[in-house]
Amino acid sequence: MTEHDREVIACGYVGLTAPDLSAWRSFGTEGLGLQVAGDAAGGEDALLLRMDERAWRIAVLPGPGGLAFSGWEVRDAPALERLAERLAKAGADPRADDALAARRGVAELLCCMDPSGNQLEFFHGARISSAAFVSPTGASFVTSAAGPGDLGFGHIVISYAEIGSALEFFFGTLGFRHSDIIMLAGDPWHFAHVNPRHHSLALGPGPRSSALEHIMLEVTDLDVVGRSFDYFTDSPFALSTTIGKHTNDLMVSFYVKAPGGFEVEYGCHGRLIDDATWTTAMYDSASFWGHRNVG
Amino acid sequence: MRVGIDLTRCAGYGNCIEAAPEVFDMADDEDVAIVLTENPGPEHAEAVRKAARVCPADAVLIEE
Repeated sequence: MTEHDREVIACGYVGLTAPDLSAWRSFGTEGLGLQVAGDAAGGEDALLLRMDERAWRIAVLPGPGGLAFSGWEVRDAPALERLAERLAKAGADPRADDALAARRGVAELLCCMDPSGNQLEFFHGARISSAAFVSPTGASFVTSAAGPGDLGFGHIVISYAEIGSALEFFFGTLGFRHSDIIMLAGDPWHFAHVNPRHHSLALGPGPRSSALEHIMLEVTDLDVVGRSFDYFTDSPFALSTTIGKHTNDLMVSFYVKAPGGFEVEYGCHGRLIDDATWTTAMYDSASFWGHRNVG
Repeated sequence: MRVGIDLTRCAGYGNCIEAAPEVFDMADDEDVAIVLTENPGPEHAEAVRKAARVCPADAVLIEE
């Protein structure tokens, strides 16, 4: 595989489900500092949230509390075409879907399933909003950087009952690069990057078919993380951990339970990877300090 | 209006059934939705459009 074959450059957006959208709205805006997208503010059917100049980055739909879809970004139409060919060759059955592209507000989109049936969407041409992003908590999200460019919305961590086929798909077929491994309770968790963000996806073994463990959102300022931690401490939402620092991506963060299921990691100061010098490593702990379970 | 389910995407959330119970149901043998009425009348149009909007997998297909 050459650099030319690594079409995916970011996790551009994510679709989640939640049983109570109004609870998620408070959780996402007051707690996480996300902005409700103006053109979707009136709807009770779905919640679209902004974190930068894009029209939306996070969609929340009615459901049990989990991952509905993830949107993986490529640079342009030729890249999407190359990716379609490679996915087809690997038997992933990618389908171009103009109606879905219109709904997501992207120029062009392919849809396929990962080996455990998680819906993946590959796209280019994300819609930029003319209205400024204004965080209700003054948060500034790390979705791009002056040098590296697009870093995506954050990261996703998914557990797989069939981890082998998932690893082959993401590292082999899609060309995601290994960041490192953390051994947790004797099992390896694999961290993967597609841009300088330390990881856009992490995969590990799980008992169920496949489940979203957490999503991560990164802000620029430790004070925003701390104030968000205070907000959740005082709110009815349930914190999962104290503030801590991760071993592999060096992020200072905490975890909070999203209403309905899975967790959200909220942090800052995550490290960036330079592929010219990066060497993979293995850790036997996820955190240098903190991240103690609470509740 | 013509209605279908993309079975490659349907993940069995059941949101469409809640939105339009006279048009959609769950399959007996599999955790996916089925269409009860492929050509629902105009009285179901709004419910079917809502079913499409609330499907987390975007598996509800509509031809107006």
